[in-house]
Amino acid sequence: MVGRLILVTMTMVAAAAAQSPSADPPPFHVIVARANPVSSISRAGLSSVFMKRTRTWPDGSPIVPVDQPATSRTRELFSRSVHGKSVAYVTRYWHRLIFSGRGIPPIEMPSDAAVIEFVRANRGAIGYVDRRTAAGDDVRVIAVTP
Amino acid sequence: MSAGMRELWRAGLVAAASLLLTAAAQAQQLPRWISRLSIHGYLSQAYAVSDDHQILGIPTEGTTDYRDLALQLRYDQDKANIFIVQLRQERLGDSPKSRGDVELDWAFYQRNISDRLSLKAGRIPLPLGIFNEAGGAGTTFPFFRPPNEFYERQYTSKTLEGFLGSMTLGGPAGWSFDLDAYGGQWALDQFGGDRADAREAFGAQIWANTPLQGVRIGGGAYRCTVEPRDGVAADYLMVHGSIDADLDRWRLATEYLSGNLDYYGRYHAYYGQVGYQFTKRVSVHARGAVARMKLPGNGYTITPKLSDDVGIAINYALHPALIFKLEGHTNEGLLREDAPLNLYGSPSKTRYVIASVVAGF
Repeated sequence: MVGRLILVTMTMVAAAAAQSPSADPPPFHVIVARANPVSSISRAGLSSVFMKRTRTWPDGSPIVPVDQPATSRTRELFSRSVHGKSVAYVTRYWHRLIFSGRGIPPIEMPSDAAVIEFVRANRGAIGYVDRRTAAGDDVRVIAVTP
Repeated sequence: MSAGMRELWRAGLVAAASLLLTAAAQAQQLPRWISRLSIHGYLSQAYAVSDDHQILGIPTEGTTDYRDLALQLRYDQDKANIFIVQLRQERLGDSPKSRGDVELDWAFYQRNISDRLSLKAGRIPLPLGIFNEAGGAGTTFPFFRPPNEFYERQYTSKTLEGFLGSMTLGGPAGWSFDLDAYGGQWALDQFGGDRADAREAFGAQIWANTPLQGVRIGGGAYRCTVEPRDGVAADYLMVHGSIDADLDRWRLATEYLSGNLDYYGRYHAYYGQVGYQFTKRVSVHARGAVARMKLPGNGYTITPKLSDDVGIAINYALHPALIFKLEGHTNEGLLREDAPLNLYGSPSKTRYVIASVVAGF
């Protein structure tokens, strides 16, 4: 019995480790407003921003993360790469916070174009788009460091 | 049209209206006050049937009058001042706990003193264990509802009328701690349908978030003064502990509680729940829950077997926020509702099945 418990525990830890964020270049671009002086962000920092654990930029201004729809392929890639978790996990996480009155998730925009427009119009915003999407001159792509 | 169908239509209309309002609120270029308003909600609608006895409101002939839905309005005046109202309707078939009308579930003001410290006042979700606060939102757990043995006890509530202080503390090596302290009162449902208050209640809860994301360990306690039916006021002390692990593919939860109603008796309950995500859409979950009482008499003590419940559930997620659930349970104990509660009687065995669809937004 104890042996089985140890085996189950080891399997779970291995499964959790296998879900750690990847060190490969991200399959998306992270964008901020052109006026935002930030030039890079770590994966852990990015996860913290989108989980709303980090709420302000280094200058003290509020961060406004903007997400893609839960069914979006880019959202799935972002979630796996940055949080090391599925979109279902992140949805559960937010529903727990919403329905305990403790928080609300980032605003969602329906497409890459809408995310770019939102980030362009909001100095504190940060979003992500498909790597193949042209971000344009009104927003700036920032580096994501391991 | 039957009362059940009318309730179902009303639930559908509330859900449809809230979806429309959400779509409107998410549209761009709205007045500033609308951009500060967020609307969320959930719906769990089930068909449930039992075999030999009615249990947990589930009759042997089956019922669709089994649902939980809520609509939440949240207004972020600014970073520091938040107002939240939540309306809820909970129907549990033929259970005496079923209430027909939509009720005011929460109404509270939250003052964020800093990113790590907040105060709430009003009618507030009671922080107790893993599921008490968000207990109706079916997208957060794999069965129709959290374990009855732990979350539907006689001397507690899902909400508190009073105040709540919450604090988050950083710790070494990736640990962090969430602390809650509260005080106030809440309404009780007692056997026989009487309502009374748990007065002068105060308690606290702490969660230790481990460096492994999704894994946390918690514990807490509260005390209150209650008046059992045909009895005199007594102090009730409850302590509880929890381990919660959401590792994405694996999900585990286990909790224990012990309640002591002074000279009236003691109650303890525990459960374990484990689930595995086989594919992006399909997961399977198992749960075992136990509840016992210890009642003193004149020179003797009885320890009735209140409930042993074993269940298995299959979840199919069409979308992360739209899930179909099919679950089967076997219960052995004294929870049958088609006969008066007899703490000296023999336990009854009942099987029940719940098929439900849950959505949240």
